[in-house]
Amino acid sequence: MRSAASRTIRALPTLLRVGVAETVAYRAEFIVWILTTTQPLIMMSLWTSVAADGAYEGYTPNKFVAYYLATLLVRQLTGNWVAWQMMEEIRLGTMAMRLLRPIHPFVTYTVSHLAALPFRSVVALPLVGILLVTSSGDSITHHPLQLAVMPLSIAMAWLITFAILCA
Amino acid sequence: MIIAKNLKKHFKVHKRPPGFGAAVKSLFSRTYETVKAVDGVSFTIERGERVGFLGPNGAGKTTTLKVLSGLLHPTSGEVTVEGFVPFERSAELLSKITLVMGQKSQLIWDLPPSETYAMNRAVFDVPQAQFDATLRELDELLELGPLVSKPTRQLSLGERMKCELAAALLHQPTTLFLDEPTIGLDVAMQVAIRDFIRAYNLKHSATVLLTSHYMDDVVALCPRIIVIDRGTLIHDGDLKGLIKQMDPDKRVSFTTASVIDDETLAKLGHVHSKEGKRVTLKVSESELPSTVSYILATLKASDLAIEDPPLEDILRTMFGKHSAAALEVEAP
Repeated sequence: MRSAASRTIRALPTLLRVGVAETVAYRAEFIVWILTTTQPLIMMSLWTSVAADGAYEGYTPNKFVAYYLATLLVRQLTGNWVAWQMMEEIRLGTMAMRLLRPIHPFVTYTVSHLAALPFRSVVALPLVGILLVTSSGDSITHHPLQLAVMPLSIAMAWLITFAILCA
Repeated sequence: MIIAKNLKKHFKVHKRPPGFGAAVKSLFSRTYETVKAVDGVSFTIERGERVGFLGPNGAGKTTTLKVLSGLLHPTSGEVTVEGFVPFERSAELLSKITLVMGQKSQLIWDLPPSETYAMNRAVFDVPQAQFDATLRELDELLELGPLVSKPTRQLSLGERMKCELAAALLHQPTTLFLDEPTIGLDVAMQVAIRDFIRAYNLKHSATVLLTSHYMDDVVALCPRIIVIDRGTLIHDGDLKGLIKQMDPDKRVSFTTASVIDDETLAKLGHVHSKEGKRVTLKVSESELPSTVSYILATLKASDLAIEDPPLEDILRTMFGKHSAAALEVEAP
């Protein structure tokens, strides 16, 4: 019998594929879910209006746009709902089925949540990219190291959120 | 092989009276009571046996199955399944067992069962060729056909249960814990599931521990039964032995050309039921040949059937006696 680590690694592609299929099972729900994460855009329009006649506490409209778009991006890529999923499964007793499989439940939760990220990115990344380039290019850093560290920071932020919700 | 020695599982349960005041008070001070769900149960089940695990609601059947499958830690006692301690949840043990719960689903609700099958193949590390062969076999036995490509949420209860069984058996477990696998199914589906379980048991020499409230399941599948009530074992042995011990009389049913008076019937045996011309008598085994001869020759009866008492009646009597005994013990 293979080691647990080897078996887990071999199972990852299938788990990811199933996770993606679950994410897109309901098309309408998927769109509504995307729309519910757009609160930073509302705040952005509010604060850019406030700063339209002059900078507010040093923040120009472009800085507000940059800030809220960064917030939108981070929220889209780091948010997860694993605590609610676990709570529901414990309450309904369906976690038992997860525990009967020879793979740690943490792995299956992780993979199913990671599988949703590309779909969140599909909405968030183009929107953020276009708006930053067209209206706030000067407000974002051009430092190569900071830009390079950003994906790592987001990955770590996702892991911290996920681990806290799992704990 | 399954071994349980003096197995106990006690739960600490919070109790409070109804009402707002009690709800607020329970935030600061709580009263607990200990529920002995399983209280000193011992048994051994050999490889390939089919055993019925019976008891009234709340007897401790599902708790025992959960301990045996590693979902719960026992409070005390020893348990091994296929040589492993279940609550250690070793991957090797998990690959050898399965638990099917009629009221809980392992199928992914929004996706077709085929996706759950693919996931199980991956996590149980089943080689593709073996997976394909097993799925073909299960498809043949359970007649899954197009069901595997319909979203689980759109399957009927019976269809879902067939797909559940397939999902639970794709890794070819050798120990099956089946907790009411036929609950809510129609008679035809119940028979199909029973036939399938028997065929799987024979083909793979799999050990089957079955709980069911449908006595037909138990009679059809399990030569041996274990009965528990209030967490304690009250019978472990073969089904026929239990019936003989609890109620050795046979049920003789027949239909007569005209209604027979009660006095004549009373001479033949205890009248169990009488609906017009259809009569059922309780007759002891020693008097059976003479009684049957009389019924056929003198009463000119037709449609005669000789049966053991229904298992439901036996268990009702058994649980009644056990409850009465328990009350006597508990009484001050």
